[in-house]
Amino acid sequence: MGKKVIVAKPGLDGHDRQAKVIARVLKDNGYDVVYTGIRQTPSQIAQTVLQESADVVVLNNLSGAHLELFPETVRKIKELGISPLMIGTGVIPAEDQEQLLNNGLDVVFGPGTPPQKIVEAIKEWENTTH
Amino acid sequence: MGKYNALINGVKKGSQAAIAQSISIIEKNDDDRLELIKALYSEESCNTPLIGLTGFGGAGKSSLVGALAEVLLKQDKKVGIMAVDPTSPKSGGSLLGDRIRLQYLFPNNKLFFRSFANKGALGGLSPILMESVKVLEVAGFNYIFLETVGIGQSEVDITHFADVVVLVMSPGLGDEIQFLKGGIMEIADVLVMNKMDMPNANISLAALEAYSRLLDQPPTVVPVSVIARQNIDLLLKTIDEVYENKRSTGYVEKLRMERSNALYQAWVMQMLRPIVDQRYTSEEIPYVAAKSIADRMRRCIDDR
Repeated sequence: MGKKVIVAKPGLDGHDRQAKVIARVLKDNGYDVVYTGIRQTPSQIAQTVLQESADVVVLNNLSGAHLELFPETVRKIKELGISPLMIGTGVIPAEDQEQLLNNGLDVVFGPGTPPQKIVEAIKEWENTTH
Repeated sequence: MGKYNALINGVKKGSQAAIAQSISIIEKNDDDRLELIKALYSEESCNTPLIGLTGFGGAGKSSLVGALAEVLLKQDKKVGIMAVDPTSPKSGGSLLGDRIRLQYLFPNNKLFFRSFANKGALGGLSPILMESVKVLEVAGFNYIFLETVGIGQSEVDITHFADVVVLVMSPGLGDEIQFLKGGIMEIADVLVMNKMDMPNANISLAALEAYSRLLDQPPTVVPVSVIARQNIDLLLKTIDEVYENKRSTGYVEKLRMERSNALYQAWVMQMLRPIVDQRYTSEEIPYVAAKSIADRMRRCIDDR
């Protein structure tokens, strides 16, 4: 089995072209990708991560609610006793990235990041820990 | 026993974490799997109806299984769903997109959904999937649905696995000639014409009904619209009736014996593949090399 990645969109943001591109790029790099679709609650995402035994979670949000939704999702996931690699993506200003890293996210990418960077981050994590 | 006592107890209590972890161990190819599978099979498990849904991609299998689960969850039933999507032949990765259709049912601790990549096993469900069904049986689920990659005509292997086979179709996917072909059409217990809300759906339904009447054991045709939530109850009732009929005539028991045999064969093939792969060089004639290795294996086994 290749590593399993959940691409999830917490919150009310309905624009998911970016999430779909990320899912596609990960698939093309040999990962098994489950996309949750839009408008997910942190609890829905956490249960998905648990049931699918995901190794990596890519959260995506374009509405500006990332400071609330991303740490809350991480918290719900950790409550279930699992700790996948947590990657935050979307319209995340540089000044927010540090804060997310201090609140449970392992890697954060802002606008303009080539999707390949996400692949590299996962590969690096695989090499160091798994 | 021993090592997995706690995990198996968790599964029996219906812990989703324990179920997910067990399936992950089954997915990994190592000695842990052997021990876990032995432990699973030593547990008492009830015969949970195993319902296979198959059909072309886009026919609406995932949405339909979501609608069925919705009804069952309201009746306080525990529902397990395993969905298979194709692995990319280019990258070896996959985009498992079935879950998205019923994500609205979560969070729910009576519903367990797991996505699988078929890893190129066209026309056949991997043994991993079947052992995962065992996990759900031990966990005491009331219904288990298997949703298979929609390749249509040649997907007959599901018969080795499911108690009730449901073929999902939608209008405009083919005329009577498609229905006359051999394959899955002949072994389905229930034929669903989904998307009855679409214009001219009645024409496709009529063609399907006409076809089904020609079969020796005519399957039940159920017109359904998932979007309009039409006839979902009727479909569920039909599935229950087919299962009950097969159970009371002893057919389910026979199916399960055939399933064990198929599972044994699938595991053997999977385990042999890496062994035989390394022993072929491109100078050899494929048939001659295959015959030689099969003969050697037979001699080896018969000598013991």
